[in-house]
Amino acid sequence: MSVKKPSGGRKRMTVMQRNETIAGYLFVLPLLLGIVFLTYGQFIYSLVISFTDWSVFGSQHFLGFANYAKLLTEDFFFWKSIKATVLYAFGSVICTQLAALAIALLLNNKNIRGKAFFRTIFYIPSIVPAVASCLLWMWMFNPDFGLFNAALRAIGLPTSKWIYAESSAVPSLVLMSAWACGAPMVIYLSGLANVSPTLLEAVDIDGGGAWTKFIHITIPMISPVLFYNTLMGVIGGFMTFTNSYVMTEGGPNNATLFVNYLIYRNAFQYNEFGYASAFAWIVFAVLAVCTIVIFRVFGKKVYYG
Amino acid sequence: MKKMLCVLMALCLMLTMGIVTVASAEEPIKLTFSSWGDAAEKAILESALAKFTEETGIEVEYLYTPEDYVTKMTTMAAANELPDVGYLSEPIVVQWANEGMLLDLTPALESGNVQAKMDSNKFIDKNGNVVGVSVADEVVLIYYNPDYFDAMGVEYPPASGEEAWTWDEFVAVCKQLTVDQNGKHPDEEGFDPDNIRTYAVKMDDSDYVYESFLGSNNTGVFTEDKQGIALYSDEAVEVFQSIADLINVHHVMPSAEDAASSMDMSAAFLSNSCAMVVTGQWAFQSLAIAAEEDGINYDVGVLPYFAKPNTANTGTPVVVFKDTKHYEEALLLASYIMNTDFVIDFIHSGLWMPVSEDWYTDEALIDEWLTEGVHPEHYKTAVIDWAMGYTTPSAYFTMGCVQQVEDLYLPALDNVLLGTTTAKDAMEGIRGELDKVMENYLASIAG
Amino acid sequence: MAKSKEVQALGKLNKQRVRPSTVILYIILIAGTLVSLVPLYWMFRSSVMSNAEIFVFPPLFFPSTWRWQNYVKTFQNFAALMYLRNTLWILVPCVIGTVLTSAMAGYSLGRLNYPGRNLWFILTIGAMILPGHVVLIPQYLTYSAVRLTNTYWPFYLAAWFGGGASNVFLMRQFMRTLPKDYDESAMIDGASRVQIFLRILVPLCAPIMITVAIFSFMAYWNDFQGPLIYLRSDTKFTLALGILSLRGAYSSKWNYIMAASLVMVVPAIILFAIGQRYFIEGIVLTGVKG
Repeated sequence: MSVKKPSGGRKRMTVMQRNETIAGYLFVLPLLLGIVFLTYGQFIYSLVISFTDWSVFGSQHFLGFANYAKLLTEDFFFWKSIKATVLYAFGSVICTQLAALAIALLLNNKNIRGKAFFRTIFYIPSIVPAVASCLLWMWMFNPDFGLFNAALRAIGLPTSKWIYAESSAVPSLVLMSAWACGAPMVIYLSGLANVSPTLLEAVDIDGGGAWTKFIHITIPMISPVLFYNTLMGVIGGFMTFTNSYVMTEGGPNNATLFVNYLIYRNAFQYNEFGYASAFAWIVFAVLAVCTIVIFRVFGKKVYYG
Repeated sequence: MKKMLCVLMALCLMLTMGIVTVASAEEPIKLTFSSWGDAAEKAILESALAKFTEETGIEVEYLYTPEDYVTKMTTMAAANELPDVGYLSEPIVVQWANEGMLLDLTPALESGNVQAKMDSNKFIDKNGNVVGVSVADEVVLIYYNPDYFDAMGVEYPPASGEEAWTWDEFVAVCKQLTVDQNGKHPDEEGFDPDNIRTYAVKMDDSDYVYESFLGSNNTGVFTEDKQGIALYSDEAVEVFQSIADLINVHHVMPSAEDAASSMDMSAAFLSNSCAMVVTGQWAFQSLAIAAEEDGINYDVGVLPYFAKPNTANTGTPVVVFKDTKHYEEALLLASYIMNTDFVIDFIHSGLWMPVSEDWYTDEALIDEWLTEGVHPEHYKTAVIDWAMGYTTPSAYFTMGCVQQVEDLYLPALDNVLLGTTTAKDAMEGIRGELDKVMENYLASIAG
Repeated sequence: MAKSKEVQALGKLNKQRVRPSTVILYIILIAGTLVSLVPLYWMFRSSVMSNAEIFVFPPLFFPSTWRWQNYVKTFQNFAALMYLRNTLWILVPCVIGTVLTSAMAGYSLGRLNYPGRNLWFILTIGAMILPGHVVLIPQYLTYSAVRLTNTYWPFYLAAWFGGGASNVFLMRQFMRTLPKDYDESAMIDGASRVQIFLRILVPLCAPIMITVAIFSFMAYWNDFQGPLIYLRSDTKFTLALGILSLRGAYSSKWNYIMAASLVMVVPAIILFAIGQRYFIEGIVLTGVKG
């Protein structure tokens, strides 16, 4: 339904626009107060100290861009951690989203009974507290006494060192992240519930197959949640912390030294807060670029009802 | 306008001063004490604090942080809200002290309120002040399953420093203890290193194990004068390579280590997956529980050596933070917490060792220490005498850059343990970085 | 009676054609179920084992003796009720605040048009991409300056002022998928925007609001880091933080930790099982199709 603009309604439009603006600000006000006073105020604080040598204790000196320069040119760990994080973030986004979407599609199938049961089951890995799931996965990954290698040996396949070798550590953690794909799965499910059956029937009538339906109807119709999940997946991948902090301590040989863990180490173990803040702002910049790229790639293709 | 402001500021100042003077005049002294630990540890500290309040009339607020203790302390430091007295994680004690965050404990140690403490458990800052004293001592040991040794017909590990194995003797014994699924030992024809049923030994992949053996080869993380790094010395490289060879050359040690290692030692003994485990003294507590619950058998011996028998040690320290307004009272509280009598439950449970010297020499106190069902037959010589006679304190008792050094060398060792590189190459690869850390540290404490 | 029903059911089954593709689907689903249930089973069997048995190799699937007393021992000296009460004191107001303010912000950013909107949206996304450890201290300093540490206010304020950028973003995405016709026809009928939000959008967005409610429930239920930083007194601790007191520096009672974790997971699973009916099928029930 489209409303025709009343002729000569310039004044009325401005009133409407003004009303919309007032309403818009009123509705967004709690968020605005929150991001100004509880988020960006603290962001600016950390941005300021990123130009100093503040160590939590005592005085601070202005250093200009020295922290940034040191990170980019001298830091032994910086590039290793960027590389590890990028690998992990993209690996986990791809695997987690594929797993989540596949499960959601499966559970959206009309022929399946007990959907409520399966949905709950598939969400369980995301509920288990991190302490328990990290312990479980460490035990499964253990090359000598773990479940995975025991299973591989039993069927005669070559074993792996999993999180205990430099080359397989990140892929192992990616595998673990895909296992806990409950949250994106739920969001895909609610997106899929929104896909219009009439459109799908139309494809049936035109003689299109399942693949045509998926590419031409389902994907466009769930594009807003696809977009959301992808962006959140990338951000979540970059911010990953618990797995390297609890399971690998950044090892082996710094293969899982993710940026968030390294920032934590600089800030809270070495007490180099200025330096850690500079590091965080570099991550901010990298993620800002990623976000813009994702917006550009998806932005125009996202279909809103 | 300016006048107004001045008057206002003066008013504010007077008000605050008024409040402060009123506060200090009327309010009784109240101290804050903070720690981590599990529920049992918390309960014991609470009763110690209650006793302190009862005897001195000084109230104590107990701040309990079960996890991420350093994060919490750092945050509180930034807000000037640090407690008066508390635990502090070993690796950051000297670092914080060098920044002036911790006060000297010497007056407390000399006050006569405190039993004489072992020097190996004192944290010393750049000025030579004692800034922390461990509430417990921990040394590194070999735990073993005597039943398995009996079954294999191998003699038990030596139980005193004088009789300790040389490294070669140790490797030879390890080969006798290791068997694959077909019952074959390493060096035997047809031995399958990918299907090992029982490994001879398992070691924590941790600083205290490495430092024990480094000290045994007359070296350490740092050079003796504390002015340089010793990790790339020939002696240190020999130690690292020898440990890695246990895995990759002799096949007597499993390849990967996980955080639950000292925990699953009892599991290893229960299922004979390992015959010996190298870890800290604290493990007696969980072994005692496993002995009761699952009927496992265990005993203890001393570490093998390169040039001389040696163990590193560790132990959570109690410190006094610099912002305390009541230094005297804080010192008094610190001496209460250091008192071995308060923590006797932990000593009996096998988790802790005392830090007071007389507990290692006085027969009556040793009898009080030894607990049936927890401390096994050889505990006296293999732990008490071993700790007294063969301890070299870990690097973090005196150095404030241990974390940075460990974050370089422990990851570099990963590939050595996996056999993909040699200890020599790994240490040479980080030599420049290590020297840089040292240089920065020396500059920071000189300033 | 019962027999005749069975016969009826059998008759129905025979009439239905069981397609081979459906069988494959079920096989995949059951395999996935096993993979997803491993942690629960592992936690369960560990919770009734002795500490040593948990790590025995080769792994045991059943304990040698079922140590149900582990549960008694775990909760003997554990102030479970106090921790639960504290958790709910944080959780209930925070979940309500999160859902309400993120829905409001989602409506504003997703469906209204006004100058500055895109800037606020960009700032919302920006709020998610700075690593949190470097704002921990400034945040603590802020709350400390206004004397709100050692209270639940840091959680309340965060929840009632935006409720987290990711939730706002999710709300916005969903608000945008709903057809604009609804608002427009309501506008013509003279409804105010508050009425539109409450009477049209909230019912339509109920599924996604329940999703956000469940996500934030899980987040507050399992969060120990926030309470750890902001709370001083252990009488204010939450369940997730309380459970950590079962871990010692050198001695963790894994069987007790698993028992406590399992007890904590169960309410979350039940809540999800109840909630998921509403939030996934809810959209279909309202009859809205893009």
